Amino acid sequence: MDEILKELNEAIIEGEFGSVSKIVNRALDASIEPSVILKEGMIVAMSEVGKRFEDGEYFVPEMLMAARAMKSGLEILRPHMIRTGVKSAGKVVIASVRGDLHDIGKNLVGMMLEGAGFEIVDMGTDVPTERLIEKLKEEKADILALSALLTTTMPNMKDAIEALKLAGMRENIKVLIGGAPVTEEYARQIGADGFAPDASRAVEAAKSLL
Amino acid sequence: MTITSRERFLKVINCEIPDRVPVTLFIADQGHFISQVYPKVDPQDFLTYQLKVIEIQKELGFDVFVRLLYNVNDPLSIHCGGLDVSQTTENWEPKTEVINDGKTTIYRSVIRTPKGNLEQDFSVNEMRPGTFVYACTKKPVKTEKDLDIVIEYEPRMPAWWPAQVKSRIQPVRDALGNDGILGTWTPHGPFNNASLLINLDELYTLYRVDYPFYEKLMNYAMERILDYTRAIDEAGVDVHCVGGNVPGGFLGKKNYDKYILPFEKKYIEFVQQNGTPAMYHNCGKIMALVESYKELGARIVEPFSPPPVLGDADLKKVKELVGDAYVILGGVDQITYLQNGTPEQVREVTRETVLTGKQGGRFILQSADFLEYGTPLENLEAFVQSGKEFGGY
Repeated sequence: MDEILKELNEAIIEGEFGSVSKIVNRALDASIEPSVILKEGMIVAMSEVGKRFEDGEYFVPEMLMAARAMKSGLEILRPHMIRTGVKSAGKVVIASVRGDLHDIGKNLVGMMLEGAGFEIVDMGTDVPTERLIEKLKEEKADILALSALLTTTMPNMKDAIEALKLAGMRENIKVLIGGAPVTEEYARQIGADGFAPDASRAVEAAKSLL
Repeated sequence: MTITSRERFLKVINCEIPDRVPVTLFIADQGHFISQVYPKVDPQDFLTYQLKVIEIQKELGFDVFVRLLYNVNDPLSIHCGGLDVSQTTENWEPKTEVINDGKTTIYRSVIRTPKGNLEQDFSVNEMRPGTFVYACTKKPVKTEKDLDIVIEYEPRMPAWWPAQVKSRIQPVRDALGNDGILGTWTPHGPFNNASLLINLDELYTLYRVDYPFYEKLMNYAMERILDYTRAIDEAGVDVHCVGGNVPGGFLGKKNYDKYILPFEKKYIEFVQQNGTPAMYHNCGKIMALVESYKELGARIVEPFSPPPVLGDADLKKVKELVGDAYVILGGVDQITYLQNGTPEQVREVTRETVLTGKQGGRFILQSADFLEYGTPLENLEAFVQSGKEFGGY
């Protein structure tokens, strides 16, 4: 692997967001293609971060630092990706369901998905179902990712799926759910397409849906 | 010789072996289960709800544990998030706009101080009639400069507060008598309290990214609640319930031990300085921190939420690791079993839990977290009967 890309890898894995944007600039100056910088310099790094999390070596703080480092690099890279026509892995609208004011899980999933090359539209917390539908139409998203931290707000995930059916959009949108009280069993019960027990596995789950 | 429920609890907390394991419930003092059982109570009548928490536990045969959050944590922001916008001084002028957004009411505040403005949103969502969720949805501290302003100008506890909290705790204490113990939620451990002021994804990395800012924030998060904690203690409670769930096991033991434990430990020492035990609360992932809590110094730790839905607690392993370091309060899954199981399933899981937990004493059997709306009373009857039947020493 090119030395610059290796350096970029390590900086992201170590969460050194102060240096990532500089390394991305050096990579661009060295005429490395934006798609290569993204895939080999950044997505590979975030994949390693996910692996270390699943192995119990990394925890939420390390993931957050790596994701933030990746984000700082993406800000530099994005205009070049648009210019060279680099496509995202898919577009995800992400939200905490209506009634749920918690956001840390959603934020972490959003960062990890972005780190895996997805385009993220973050609607925030306590999002009414009708606004989710509007946004999905507007953004022509591929995936709706929903988070709930309370058992009392989980039923709003089912409401969202029903609303997609009523709007005639269910066939075109994959629904991925997660959050502390959410289980694979619950995902099956309500007809969700995927379930992720944590932010790292959300990436694999999202990829498997497309 | 029969002992009262209160004596039973106190024996366990003092590391003595009682006649049997105390069997109790975690019931939130507004909404959720209590509003299911008493739907006609005004949701803002916190005292009546708190008396009903005692009433229902007594009726069902439990050893009563009534824990107060509402009415004690007033203003609610000191427990649920944000700065104190209930007070105005010459250097602290909050202006609050109320925004109605469906079932959510947003209290949007701009606080003027001589050194700059602070902004925050405090949201209240009525998730079902009578059940409210409160949170600071736009946190006021974004930079160290913001924190410096808060430290310099946020008003401290008003002089009348201790008398108010005492007057609100006393009727509950009188109603409880010897039927159990009374706990109150303090305004959290320092890390939980810091999370009320700054975004979580900033807080979870701040100690690595900018330790001086982090240290200043944690010291302030502790300092701002000491007066309230002292006043609650002097009002006469049996247990201080201290929130420690924000620095959960998902942070990893190394991060917790190095960056969080020193502050939490200092607060616990303060809480327990007059002999009132602290009960440190970490719902969710806990196994990575079970041994760290031995250093924490809290006399009780709860709730050891079991998998799959709630947490990762393995009670047998916890007992082996903890030894006699602290009292364990936990852990029958209140969703999978108490809300959604059959009485037979409840009876069996309770039997297993109490037989494991009671070994060597230092164990109180409880629902793993607050009871959900829609919990059948027959399941609670199965829980208390099984807990008493198999919890004898």
